Amino acid sequence: MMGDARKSVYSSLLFLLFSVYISIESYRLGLGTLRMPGPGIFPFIAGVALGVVSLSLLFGTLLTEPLKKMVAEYGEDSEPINWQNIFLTLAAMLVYVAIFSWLGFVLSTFLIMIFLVWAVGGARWHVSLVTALSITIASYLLFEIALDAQLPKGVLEALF
Amino acid sequence: MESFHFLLTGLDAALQPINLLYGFIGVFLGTLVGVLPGIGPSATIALLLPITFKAPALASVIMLFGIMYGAQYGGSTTSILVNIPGEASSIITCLDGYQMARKGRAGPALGMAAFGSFIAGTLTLLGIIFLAPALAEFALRFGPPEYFALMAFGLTVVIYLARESMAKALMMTFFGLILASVGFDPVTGNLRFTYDILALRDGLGLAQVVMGLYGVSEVLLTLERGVKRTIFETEIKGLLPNSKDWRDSIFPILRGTTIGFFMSIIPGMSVVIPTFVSYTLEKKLSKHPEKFGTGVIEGVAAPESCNNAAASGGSIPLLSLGIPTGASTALVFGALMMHGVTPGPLFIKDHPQIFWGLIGSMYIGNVMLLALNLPLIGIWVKMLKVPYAILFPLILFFCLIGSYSIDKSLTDMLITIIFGVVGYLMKKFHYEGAPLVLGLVLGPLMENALRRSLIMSKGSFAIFFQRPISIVLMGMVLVMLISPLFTKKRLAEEIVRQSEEE
Repeated sequence: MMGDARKSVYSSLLFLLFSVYISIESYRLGLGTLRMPGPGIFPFIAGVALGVVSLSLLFGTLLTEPLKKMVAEYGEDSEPINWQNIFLTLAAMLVYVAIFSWLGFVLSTFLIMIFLVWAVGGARWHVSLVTALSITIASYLLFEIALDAQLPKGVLEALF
Repeated sequence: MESFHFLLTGLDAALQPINLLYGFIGVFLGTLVGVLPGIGPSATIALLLPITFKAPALASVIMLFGIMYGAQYGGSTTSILVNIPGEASSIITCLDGYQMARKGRAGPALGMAAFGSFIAGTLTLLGIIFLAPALAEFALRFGPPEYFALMAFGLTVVIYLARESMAKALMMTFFGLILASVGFDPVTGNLRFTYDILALRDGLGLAQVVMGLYGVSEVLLTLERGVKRTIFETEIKGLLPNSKDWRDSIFPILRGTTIGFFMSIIPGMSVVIPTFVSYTLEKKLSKHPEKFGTGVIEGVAAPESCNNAAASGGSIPLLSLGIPTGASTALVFGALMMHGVTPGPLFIKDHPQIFWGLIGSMYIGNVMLLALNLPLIGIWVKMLKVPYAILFPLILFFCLIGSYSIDKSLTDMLITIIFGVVGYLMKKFHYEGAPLVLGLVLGPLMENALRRSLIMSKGSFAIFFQRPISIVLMGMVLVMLISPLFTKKRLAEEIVRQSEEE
C-alpha cells in the first residue's frame, strides 16, 4: 500500500475535485442573496470550505514531507490485506441486491449466507449449509411472522 | 418537589408491561451488540428504526435508549475477558481489566464494571432530572443565531477532539454537511443533488448511512485480516468484589461519573474521550500510579462508570435543546420526529409523559442490566464463542435488510453498501467517521438556522457576533480552530498519548 503522506495527498486531491464539483453545482442551484438565501447557498459554503481545507492539507503535506521521502515510503505498509475477502463480500452483497426482488427474500438470503460462510468465512460445506439454513428460517420467522416486514417473496410466491 | 411527583408518574409509565418489554429488548440487544465486536449501538439503533414506526412513541425511545446504555455494560465484558473492546468507549478498560483477568480476577473486574456502571447510571439520572428542565428553560431564549452557533460549537468540539489530523476532521465535517443537503430544499422545495433517483428525494437516510459506515465497513476491516478469532479460556469465579476492591473503587466511580456526566453534555463530545480523561485523572491521583496497567481495579471502575454516565448524559442536549450529540442520539431524534414529537426546549413541557417515562425506564433499565450482566454473565461469554465466520454474514445481512425495510427500497440497500466502502476507505486513509455523521445529522438543522438568521439580520453575518450567547459560542469555536496553530500538542492527543503509553 502506501505511506501516510501519500494517503493524505491522494485523498485531499480527491476531496478537492469533489468540492469544485459541489461548488459549481450549488452555484447553479442558485445562491440567492444574503437577504434571501437560495437553495444552493449552504452546500456552496460547505463545498468551498471543503476545498480550502483540502488544499491546505495537500500543501501542508507536500511542504512538510519531501517527495523523496514519500517515494521511499512506497510499499512500506506492514499488514497484508486479504483483497479476495473484501471483493467476494462486496460482490455477494451487490448480487444480493440484484436478485432480492426476483428470487425473493428467503431464497436470496439462503444463497448469500451459504456463500459468505463457506467462501469467505472458510467453514466446511456442511457447517455452511446448516448455518445458512438456520439463519434463513430464523430470519423468516423474525421478519415475516413476528415483524410483518413485508419483504419481497419473489418466485417462491407461486408456491405459497 | 414537582420533579419528584413527575418522576413517580414516569416510573409508573415505565413499569407498564409494553414499556417494560421494549425496555428489556433494548438493554438486552444493547448488551449483545456491546459484547460483539464489529457492530455497535448506532448500527443497532439504525436497524431497529423500522420497528419503532409501529410501536408507541414512549416505548420506542425507551428501547432505543436502552440499546445506548446497555452497550456500555456489554462493551466492558470483551475488554476484560479477551482484550478486545466491544465498543470504542471500553478501549481504556482493556488496560487494567484484561490484566486482572490474566491474574485470575476476571470475576471482580466484571463485577466492579457492572456495579460501577449501575451507580453511575443511577446518579446520572438525578443529574438529568435537575439539569434537563433548567437547560430547556434557558434554551427558550435561543433564536436561530444561537442555535447555529451552538451547532457550530458541537461540530468544532468533534473536530478539536479528532484523534487523527484536525484538517481531515474538518474535511469530514464539510463532507457531512454537503451530504446533508441532498434532497428537497426545506425552504424553497428545489431538488438538490438527487440525479433523478427517487430514494434521494427525502435526503440520504441517516440509518442507511450509519449501517454502512459502522456496520458494513467494520466487517470489511476485519475480513481483510482473514477470518480468525481469539479463543477464550479464562475461568470466571467470584463476581463479587471484596471490601478492599470497594474501598479502592468507590471514589474513582464517583469521579468517573462526574467527569462522564458533565463532559457528555457538551454537544460533539463522544463517550470515548471522557473515559480517557477519567483514567488519566485516577492515575494522577493514585498513590501507586506505576501499578496502573498491571491490573488495578480502579482502572476498570473509573472508565466503566464514566462511559455509562456519558452515555446517559448525552441525552440531555437532545431532550432539552433538540440537538443530537452523535449518531445514536440523532437516530433517536429521527424516531421521535416520526411520532410527531419534536425534541427541543419545549419538549419537557409539551410531552412530560415521554420525558419522565424515559427517565423512569432508564432507572429500571439499569436494574435489568445489573441482572443481565452479573448472574447471567455466562450467556455473554458463550456469545464470544460464536465463530466470526457465522457472525459476519449475519451482521451484513441485518444491515442490508435493515436498510431495505425502512422504505422498502433496493436503492437504500445500495446506499448502505456504498457507505460501507466509503467507511472502509476512510479508515484506510485515516479519516474519522464521527465528524461526517455529526455533519450529516446537524446539516439540515444548521442550514435552517443559518438561513433564518440571515433573513433576520437582513443578510449580515454579524448577527452571530451581536448576541451574547452566540458571541460566547462562536468565540469558543474560533479558539478551538485557531489554538492548534500555536500550541504543538492538542488536548485530545495529549490525553490519548498519556493513557496509551502503558
